Amino acid sequence: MDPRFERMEEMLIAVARELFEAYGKACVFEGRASTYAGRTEQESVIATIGFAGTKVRGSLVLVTLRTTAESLRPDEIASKADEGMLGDVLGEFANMLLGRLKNKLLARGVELLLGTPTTAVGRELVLTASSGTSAWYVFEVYGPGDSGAGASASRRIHVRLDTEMDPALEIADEPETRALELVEGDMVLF
Amino acid sequence: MGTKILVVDDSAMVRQQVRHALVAAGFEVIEAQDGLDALDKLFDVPDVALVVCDVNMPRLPGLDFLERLRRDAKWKLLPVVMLTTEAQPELVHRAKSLNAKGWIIKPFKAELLVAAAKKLAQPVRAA
Repeated sequence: MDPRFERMEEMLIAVARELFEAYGKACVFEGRASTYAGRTEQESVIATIGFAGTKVRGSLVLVTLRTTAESLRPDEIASKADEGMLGDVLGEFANMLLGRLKNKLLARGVELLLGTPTTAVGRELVLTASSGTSAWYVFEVYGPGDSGAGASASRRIHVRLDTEMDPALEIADEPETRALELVEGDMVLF
Repeated sequence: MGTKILVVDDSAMVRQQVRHALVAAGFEVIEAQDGLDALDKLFDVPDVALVVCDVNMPRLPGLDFLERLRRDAKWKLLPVVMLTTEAQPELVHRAKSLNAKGWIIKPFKAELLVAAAKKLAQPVRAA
């Protein structure tokens, strides 16, 4: 696999853990899902968001069961979660995940613009195959009240990173300090 | 009635999280789902004391909304804090040049947001 994609993959796995932990969830990376194809049988939620830069473009897709999307809903959100809210929750996680990846890439000299998330809720949803370099990853996410013992399909989130990279794309090995002035959770008042 | 804060974000989840934090601190919250909606809400509710605004939104993104806001003399000094996943220095500088008062990276810490609101939101007497 393209080493630049592998570098993006490492960053994605790291920021996914950071993001879910920031929401009080433990997050275990189970690995690449070589046989998963984005086809859902039980009622599921899908969120996808696109990105583009001068030398790379692609998308990030999150797929999970409806019950898992419900468990991601922060405590302060109204307990009755309709389909719109469930899509919104997973869409916002996709947005924050890609936002974090974008900030990591920015620190390594790659600038991206992000789209806004698109979501779907339903059974038997099928994602088309990616035309570029692509991989699925599996994360198990659980909260303080859940048992962490044993992998459970009901707590899995599948994440797909799709990219089309220009041969001239370069991703620096180490972050530059310039872009690390602000990190997630920070606030600056002018 | 508490001091009014307009929360602008295309994510209902984020709007509810921000609402929860600000209402608990005694503020009154009005919601808008993008920049155009926010301009409408400001027309309807002119005594807003602070705007908390996302950057990436459909129809009218946050920094374009801020630019439109500053063209109107009535809103030149209205405090605006950006709440976003973005950390790109160029965007922060653009916000600052448009007289935004702050920049918060999601996911936000409720106590920091409330501290900023208490510092920046002064009650506005309706005209």
